[in-house]
Amino acid sequence: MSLEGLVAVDADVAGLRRGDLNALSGLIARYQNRLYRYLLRIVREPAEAEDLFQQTWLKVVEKIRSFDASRNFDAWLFTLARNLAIDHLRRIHPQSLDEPLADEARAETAADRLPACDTTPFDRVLAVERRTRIGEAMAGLPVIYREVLSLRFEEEMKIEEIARVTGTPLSTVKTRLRRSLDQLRNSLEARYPGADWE
Amino acid sequence: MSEHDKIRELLALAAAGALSRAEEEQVTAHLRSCEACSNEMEEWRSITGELRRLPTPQPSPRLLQVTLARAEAKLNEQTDGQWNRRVMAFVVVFAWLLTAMSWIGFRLVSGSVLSFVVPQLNHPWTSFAEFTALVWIAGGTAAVALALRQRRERRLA
Amino acid sequence: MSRFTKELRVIPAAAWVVGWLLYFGITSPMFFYVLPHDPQMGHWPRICQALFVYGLFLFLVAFVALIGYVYGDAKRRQMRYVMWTLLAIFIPDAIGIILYFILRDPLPKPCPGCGNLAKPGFAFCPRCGASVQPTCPNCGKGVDATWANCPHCGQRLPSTSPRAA
Repeated sequence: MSLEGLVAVDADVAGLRRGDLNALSGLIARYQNRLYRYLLRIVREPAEAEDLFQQTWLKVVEKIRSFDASRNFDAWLFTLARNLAIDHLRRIHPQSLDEPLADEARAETAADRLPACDTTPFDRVLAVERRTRIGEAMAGLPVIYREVLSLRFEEEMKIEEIARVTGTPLSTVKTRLRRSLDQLRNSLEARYPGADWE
Repeated sequence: MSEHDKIRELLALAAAGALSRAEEEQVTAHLRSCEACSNEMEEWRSITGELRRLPTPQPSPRLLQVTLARAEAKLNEQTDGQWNRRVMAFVVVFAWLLTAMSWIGFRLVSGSVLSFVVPQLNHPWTSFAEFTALVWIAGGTAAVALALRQRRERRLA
Repeated sequence: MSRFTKELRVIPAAAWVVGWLLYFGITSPMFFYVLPHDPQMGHWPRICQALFVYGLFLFLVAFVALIGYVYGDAKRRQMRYVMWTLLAIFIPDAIGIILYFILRDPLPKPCPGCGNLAKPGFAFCPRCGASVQPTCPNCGKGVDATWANCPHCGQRLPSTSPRAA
């Protein structure tokens, strides 16, 4: 976020603690797309993501007084959202929380067991189609991997910030990032063999 | 493990920009001489490049409005709750102070005026203290009983 | 601090008038006639006597102001304001006032259709029928916008619309 953005967020947080409604609406609007995208990556269902989006903001209002203003609001917001989303998954879809396998080599998920696409290898693949395929492959990864990919590439968070949001040590974040990229690539190559990625 | 293999392990993280400065330099140095790894790196870069440019999913248009309504309701609820607690604390402190002041006031009044009117008030302090204690106990009990009844009614309503 | 000033405006002007009148009406005779003849406090230096009398009876002003607040507040909450004002005055040591604050009704919200101030428990305006509060789609009773389930029938409330009607 730009410097003005950060300053505006701090002002809004201070306003929210005093009970200013405009500050609240400013904050919600500012984080609307990012927060929704992150929740959608975790729960994969738009209706559930919208529900969790609302619940996150209710929690923010509840807990804003115990938020230490010197800390990073982004990380705190995403941590709250993450906790709500993981709790939701535990209750509603316990089987979707498949833990990453200890084996570093090719780890199969249900998505990988789909039959390989019978498309003829194109010399040029349309950028949009490739992006869609990457998005779809990402949705097939375990939730921990989806999350770290989303935080790193969509939120563009630094590794330290990701460590804070997920509550894991730095080395774990790096390992998960590497494994998630490996698995993503394996999944792509399994589904679209021979496609030109350059 | 040879250096080539080690670098290969780091390529994905390098494309993700997640390496330390020292590791980055190692990788860059190796890539200058190794074509296989350079090709690998290009593959990784294209994947991470696309990851960075994934389209942002849009929520339904009413989400902002609905969330704002709910969050505002909650915020108002909390602000009111805080304010009411402060008022209660103030009123209770005030009531105690008023009691103390009324003793002193009574003392003042009884010293001069009251002794003309009701001369048989021999021990004004103790009788007034008893009176005050009785009032506080009765009032306190009434307050608690009424508050409990009202809370029960509010839950059912 | 603006919440405080907003609440202060609830106190009717008459309460302030009565309060200050009583204040000066009692403290001046106290200071000039009663205190000098008091067996113990008559020996105090005059400045202490002044501080004592004029300070002590400030409580009286605060007390009258609080009673005025009870009157104005009970009125705007559509409670029985005469009864509550009398309770606040006559139950000693401000316990009536404490009781009032514990038991007061929530503020009524204006109806979005006709602006009528209905009692806070209602889900629909008694004058124009407009929906004042979100209702449960199952049992129709009024529910809070922040709730996830209906407290009367247990129905899970739809979260994507503030008005179920």
